[in-house]
Amino acid sequence: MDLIPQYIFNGLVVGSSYALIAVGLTAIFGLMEIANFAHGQFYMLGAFFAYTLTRLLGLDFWTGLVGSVMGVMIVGVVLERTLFRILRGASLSSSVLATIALSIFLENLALNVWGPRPQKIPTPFETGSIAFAGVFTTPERLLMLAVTVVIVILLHVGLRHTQTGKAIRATFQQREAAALVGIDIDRLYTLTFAIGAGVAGLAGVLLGTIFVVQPAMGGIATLKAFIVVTLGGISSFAGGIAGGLLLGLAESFGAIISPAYKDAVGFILVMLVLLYKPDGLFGKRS
Amino acid sequence: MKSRVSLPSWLALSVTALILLVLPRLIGTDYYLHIAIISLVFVILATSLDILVGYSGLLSLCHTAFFAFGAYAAALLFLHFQMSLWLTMFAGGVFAASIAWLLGLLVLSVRGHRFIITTVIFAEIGRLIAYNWTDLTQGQIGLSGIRPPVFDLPGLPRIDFSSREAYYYLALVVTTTCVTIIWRITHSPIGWRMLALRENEALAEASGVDTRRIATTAFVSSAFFAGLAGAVYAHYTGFVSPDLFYFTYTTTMLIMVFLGGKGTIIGPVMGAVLFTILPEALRVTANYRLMTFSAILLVLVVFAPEGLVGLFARIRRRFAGQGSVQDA
Amino acid sequence: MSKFVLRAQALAVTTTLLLAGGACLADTIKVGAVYPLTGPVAEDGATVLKGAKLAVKLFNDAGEFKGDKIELLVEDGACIPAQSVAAAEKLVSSSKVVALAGAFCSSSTGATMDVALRYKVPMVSGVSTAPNLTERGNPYLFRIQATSQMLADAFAPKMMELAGGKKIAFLVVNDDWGRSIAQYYKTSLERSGAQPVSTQIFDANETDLFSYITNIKRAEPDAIMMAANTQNAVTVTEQLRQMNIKSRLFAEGSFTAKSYYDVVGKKGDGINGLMPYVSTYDSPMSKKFVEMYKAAYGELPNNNAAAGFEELTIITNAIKTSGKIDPQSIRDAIATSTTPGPAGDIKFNEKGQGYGFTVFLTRNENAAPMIEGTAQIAKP
Repeated sequence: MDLIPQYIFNGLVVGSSYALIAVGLTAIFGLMEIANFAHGQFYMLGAFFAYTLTRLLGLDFWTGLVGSVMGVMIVGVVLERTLFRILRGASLSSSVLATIALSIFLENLALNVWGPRPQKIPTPFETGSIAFAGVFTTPERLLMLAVTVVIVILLHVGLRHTQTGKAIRATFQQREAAALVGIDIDRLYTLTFAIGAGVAGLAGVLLGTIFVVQPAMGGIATLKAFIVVTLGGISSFAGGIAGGLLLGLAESFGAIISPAYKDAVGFILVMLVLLYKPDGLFGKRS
Repeated sequence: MKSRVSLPSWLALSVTALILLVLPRLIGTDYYLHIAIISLVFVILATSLDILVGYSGLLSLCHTAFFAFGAYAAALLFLHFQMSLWLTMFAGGVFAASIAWLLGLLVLSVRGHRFIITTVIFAEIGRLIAYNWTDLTQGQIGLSGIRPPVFDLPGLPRIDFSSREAYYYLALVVTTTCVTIIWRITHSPIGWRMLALRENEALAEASGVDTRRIATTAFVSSAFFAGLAGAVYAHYTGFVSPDLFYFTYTTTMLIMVFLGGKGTIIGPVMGAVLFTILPEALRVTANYRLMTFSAILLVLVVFAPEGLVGLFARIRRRFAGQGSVQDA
Repeated sequence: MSKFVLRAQALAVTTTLLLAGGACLADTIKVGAVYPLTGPVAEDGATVLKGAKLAVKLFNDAGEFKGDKIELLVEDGACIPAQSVAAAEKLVSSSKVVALAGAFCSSSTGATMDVALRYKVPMVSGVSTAPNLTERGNPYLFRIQATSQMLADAFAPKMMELAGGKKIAFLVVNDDWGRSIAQYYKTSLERSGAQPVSTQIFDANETDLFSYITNIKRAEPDAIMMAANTQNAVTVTEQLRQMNIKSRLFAEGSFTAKSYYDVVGKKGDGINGLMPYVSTYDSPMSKKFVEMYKAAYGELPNNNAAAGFEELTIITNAIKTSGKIDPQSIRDAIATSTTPGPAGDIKFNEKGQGYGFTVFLTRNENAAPMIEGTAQIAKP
């Protein structure tokens, strides 16, 4: 079928957005063992910050992008220093419930601040549609893909070759031991939270130029991100990326078979993975 | 773990029972009676969820799916086979329980976050089915025209439950029965094994508890009551639609359990009543309702994780000046 | 409990929209409305409310009814049936409203109309299109809106002419409305010689429709029939453009709303809308409505605004003609009434289905709807 490249490309673009959201979720989970149900709200806030900076305040796209990513990082840091610090010792169910409450709160806060009306972030590109080799796409979608690649490389290099990255990896594996050898856990948590929130916020800005921005977008993103991390392995960076792309592709091709059950493809994948490889495709036994 | 009931408790219980019996006379309008009936349904939902999250330590985020499955089963049986609530109640419960058993085969092998996430996904699958299998479920518009039952046995007075007041008493009887059974389950040897599972699974296993079997029992029985509640709800409101699968319902049920006090039965009962009334009372703040609601929840989860029951116990301890009473 | 009741009522009164000018002396007539003010269609619900308020203001300013004022009590139904029912219960049994308007989504209206029947209070719905609502034998429900079936029958031949070919694809939102559009347009268009080639149903919350559009592209249709409300209409339009789809586009929904034009601008040009109302309709009633709406809100009314306006106009009109304010008299007055609305006179058949008004086939040009054809809805 001559449209196969189109389906693949569609899947990769959506998948890379899933991956960007899931990376932060994985990082926070791997480090702090908190499943943050409000993680999708960082993505939503990133989009609304960018909308405010560009559409409402008239800044150009790139300034808006940097500003909103920093804004989301600040929100992330503030939350980490307050709520998540309190939750650190809490039971699994308390922390899950608290982050669920936080997500409802943030979504309705956004609803009251920005209203329910779907919005768009003005795109920095002039051209509407690009065609190559029979595949139709837009510059915004290409940017999304490019940014994902850059972020993946940055994270990889950062984790492998910087002192902080090594500390994060060490803490991932053995928290108590990491604290014993003098790693500043608090600083690490704050940093991870800031980066995780920032990357999700970045995804929000980029997708806000492709799709619409609205308060409910965060909840759906959280669900998808959870599917992704379960697919890939709950505390594995590579798993988050691969899981994201896999889900994107699965949904894209699932739409050929049955549009209405497109989302079910991802769900069934997760169920199968849980059945045969409970730690995810890239997870290590904990 | 004594189930000795003291004199003040007896008094409180009798007064509560009396109030519940004369409630329709106390509250004037049908609107408040409507809230009372919905509260009763949520009492079943919250207490049955407590079996899982409170007693067995399994945080399930798909309780509303079992509620919805029960409601859909009841609706379809009524609409296609004219079965009344007397039968659909059990059919709804059994249907939900069977699905829970099948799901349990898959998800009860994982714990912690994986279990939680899988249950979220399961509820979503349920919603997708209800949405898209339009021949059976009518899709988003849902099924309507489900009637309340009529009690009609020879030699006994005929009661038509389509009046609010009659349905209130029906729901009251069903709810009281369910809560009593749930109380008995959780305070039986099975309940103790559930507690063992919650506290330390490895230790429980080592001391001879078949943890997988206990987890399955908890999951299936909790789903049974949720399905039963679904039937009571469907015959009351007269319609079911896919929104019963929405995550917000699960959130609401969890709030009821946690804020009432998980692992206590009485806590979820209080939580259910309070958190059916509260959103209705906060209805007036329209757009700020959910914001207020979640803020209250957040504050309570962080600062009073033992819920209202824990809070009362703390207050009582302070006044009694003793620190030996420990809640489960 | 009574303390709670008192407090809740006190709060309700203070936060209620008191639309009457000097409502202290004259009596107030309470009318209830259940609209989605939160959730995915909150935007459209808010627009319906604007129209409804305008109709109430007209009635109150005229002071024709012994100087009595209407107080519009609004509750959020969020387009969730259970919440809409609770809202209606509250309005009817607690606030004692004499008539109801709402509840936007067909599923919510379908559930709420049972409350109307139970308390024998008339309910007027201006937006819900599910055909079966008026087939349930509920004498208290009045639906103004032409069903998708009626719109499809009215315009099918004209649509086929514009399509310039036989192959038709459907791209509709996954709810009762979207699905019924796929169903009824398919039947009507087939009767006019169409050949349906693809039906894509997407979720209201979905943002990426490329895979659906790719499916449609594969079927190479001559025309696409779409159904989407504001949040999806924008996405649908932009992504069809990005995928370089050249087929003719037909649509029901928010493709002529202000919020839509605000975001997509001229990208929506060329789309044909099948609309119950457009502000460019130049009948005297419509012109008057547009003028008042613009004066009140500083923007042009869309079909949802007109629907809200019609809902409340039908209720106020029935109060005026019957001279009574009990629910039964209002119901009986509505059943036999002819109410002039922005899209023409509205009458109801014995099932409570509205007819007599005009419906529109529009084309977007320079981010505004131009009328390409009209049809009058005959008595069904």
